[in-house]
Amino acid sequence: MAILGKERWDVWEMAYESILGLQEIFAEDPTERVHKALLEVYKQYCENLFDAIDKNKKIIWSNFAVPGTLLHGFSDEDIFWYQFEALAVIQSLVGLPGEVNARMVDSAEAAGMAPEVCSVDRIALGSVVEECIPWGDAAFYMTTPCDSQTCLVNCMTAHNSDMPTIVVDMPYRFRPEESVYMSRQFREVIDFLEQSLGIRYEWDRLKFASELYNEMMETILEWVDLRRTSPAPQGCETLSLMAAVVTVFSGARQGTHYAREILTDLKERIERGEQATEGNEIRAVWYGDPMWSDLNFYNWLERELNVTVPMDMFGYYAPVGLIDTGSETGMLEGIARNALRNFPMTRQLLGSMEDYIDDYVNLCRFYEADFGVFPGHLGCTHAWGAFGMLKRTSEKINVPLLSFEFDMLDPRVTPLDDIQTIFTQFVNEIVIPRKS
Amino acid sequence: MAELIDRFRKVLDRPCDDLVRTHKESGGKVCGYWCGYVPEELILAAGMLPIRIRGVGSEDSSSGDSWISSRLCTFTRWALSAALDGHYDFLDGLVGINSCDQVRRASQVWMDGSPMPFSHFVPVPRATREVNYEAFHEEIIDLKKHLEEFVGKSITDDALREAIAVTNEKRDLLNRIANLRKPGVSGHVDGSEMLTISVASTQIPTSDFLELGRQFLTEREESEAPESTVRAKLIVCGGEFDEPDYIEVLEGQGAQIVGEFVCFGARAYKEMVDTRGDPLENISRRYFYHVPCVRMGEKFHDRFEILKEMIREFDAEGLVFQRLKFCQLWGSENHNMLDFCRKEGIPMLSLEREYGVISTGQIKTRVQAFLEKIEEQRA
Repeated sequence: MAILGKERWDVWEMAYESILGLQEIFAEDPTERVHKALLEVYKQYCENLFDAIDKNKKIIWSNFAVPGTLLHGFSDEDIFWYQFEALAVIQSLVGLPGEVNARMVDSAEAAGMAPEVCSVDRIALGSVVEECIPWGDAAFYMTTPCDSQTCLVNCMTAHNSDMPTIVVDMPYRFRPEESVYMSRQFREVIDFLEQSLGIRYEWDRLKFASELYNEMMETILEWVDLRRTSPAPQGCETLSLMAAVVTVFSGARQGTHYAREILTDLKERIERGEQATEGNEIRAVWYGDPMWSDLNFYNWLERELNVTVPMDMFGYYAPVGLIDTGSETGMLEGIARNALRNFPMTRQLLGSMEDYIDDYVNLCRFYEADFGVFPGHLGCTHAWGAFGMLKRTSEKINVPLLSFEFDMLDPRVTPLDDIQTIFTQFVNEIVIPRKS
Repeated sequence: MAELIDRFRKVLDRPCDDLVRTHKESGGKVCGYWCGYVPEELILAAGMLPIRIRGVGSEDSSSGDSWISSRLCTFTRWALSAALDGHYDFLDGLVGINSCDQVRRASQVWMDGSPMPFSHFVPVPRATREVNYEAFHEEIIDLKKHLEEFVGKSITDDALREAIAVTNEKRDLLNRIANLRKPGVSGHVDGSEMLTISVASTQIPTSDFLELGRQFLTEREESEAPESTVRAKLIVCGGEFDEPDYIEVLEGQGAQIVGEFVCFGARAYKEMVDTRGDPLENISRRYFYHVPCVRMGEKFHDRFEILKEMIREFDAEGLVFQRLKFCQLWGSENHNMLDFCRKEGIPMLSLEREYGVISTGQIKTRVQAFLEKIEEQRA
């Protein structure tokens, strides 16, 4: 299927076709706000990407932790910011992860990338090996949240040594001085990209983007709080997608629009007295990588086991302070603070284990979890490294913990049936008897 | 001669060598550290003996596995097991680090699970511009302050200079021993011996190491290599690697290992600390900017150039790239190395391994095939 009237790389055409198909399915249902909003932002993403290619805009390569708000100081008439993870995420959400993600993983491994590296980064490398992404004019990477992302930076910088590249270090600690350190690095990024791309950075644009970010974040914080409602009115299928949208659309209207839609949807469901599950609700905190290889798994959980996930690691945002748009420094430090403290995985896993454990304990308490889930994504070394502590903490706070091994993007690793069996056994044999 | 190398080998058998025990019994303190980004000079200047953490001591990794799972690399699991099983109880302190996610987690579990009188965590930036160096230097200043509080005295510039001098001397000695393998240099040392010696240098007091090492160098400078058929000269490269028995297997197939571009090898001793100017600043600069580890994401080409220079200096004909299973960082390096070695026409063998386990049969088969390939190309 053509995108903007032209034939494109097959993997993107497949994704685009899926998006349009799903839009048709959800079009007539007025209660499908969230799906519609999500599909619309991703449709726009695909179109913006190919519009940028057609118009020879400057492409900035980055990894997903790069705060998009910062890059909105450049006009989107001049640049397009391509995150390596975009293809994998879009394929997972609307496409054919079993086919496309698997193909990219295989390409990366055939090129020597170790299978222990997170599939997000193997897919990213695979997409470069297969040359099905736009080539960058410059690159801006951030060393977060994990070694796998460093692996991606290692490979990309090795193979594209002619591409002007700047790497920003994400610090281990989260004190106020770290925001200052980050903001200094952000200034270097701005100067670097201006020089490399020959495009002027505009602080007024950054101010506008920061205001949009603030509006988006205020909306999200309200939504995070309302998700505590019990029984849960809004399902959990799209919960983790908040991270995908915030990552790509920070500082853009699409991000603010999506946040408003998901909050409105939640409020409407509360008003209508809806419940995500039919029977007696069982609440789980999903503390780790989501099941992006098959989002229907969450619908299955609600339908078959009456288990809903009121909050997970990827949907959780904390009130860490909005961006001060009163000055350049205020904006840069605000963006830095939010990047450090309000980006999923960075917040919980980049620093010490206390951050990881504290959030887990708080989420279990705030969302009245009947059990916790440790989704053991195989490439997630820093989570696996904290698993022992998590288990012991879960025992201490008397919340049963379910753990299982899988891959968040490659469905071949653990068959869905096996995961469903694990959940069914755990819920029936441990959770339900405890609840009754 | 055999006695000296055996003495070095004995050092590797367990975490606390007799020389360390003697140091402790005479009132000395010992501080463990995980990685080559921790300045041993600072620990030394504080009056403590720096010992680099390894995975020996325990019979298995089960203690570590129960905390950091079997999905992490075997080195960290074995090292953590050794700590939790009490084999590192002789340490008075530990400097943890975020060299990689696995060491970061193991550091913290150790510090929380087996607290020591002194523990400190040094976060090292992963980008290498001046702004990042300044952040690293702040961390080193912080480490210095904490060490001073612990030992109850200031670490003076003179103490730092003295520590730099003796550590540089150690590095220089290691380089001279390693250089016995250069073309045109008389004397000999084989790869397993060299790795034994370089690992041992991180496990015993520097003064003892210098004494033994100088003796070894003197003896070996005047000796000739035992007769054997050398099929090809190779350099072993990769990440954590402190098991000389592995190299013995490689050399048993006819490979002559002329370099160890690994964490416990040349990357640890290749570069000196500058002795001019501010000693603390010099220490920080040397450690931050030394041969970059793969954890410094964008530094592959710097690393590769240094490796290529080593290949030229030692007249090597190929590389054995080894990495620990579950090591992500060196796993990504495997991809880069394969690609660039192919482009540069450098034969490369890629091997995966588990810490504490040497699959002799597998290694032999692959190394033999690799050596045959080099011989064919040579012909």
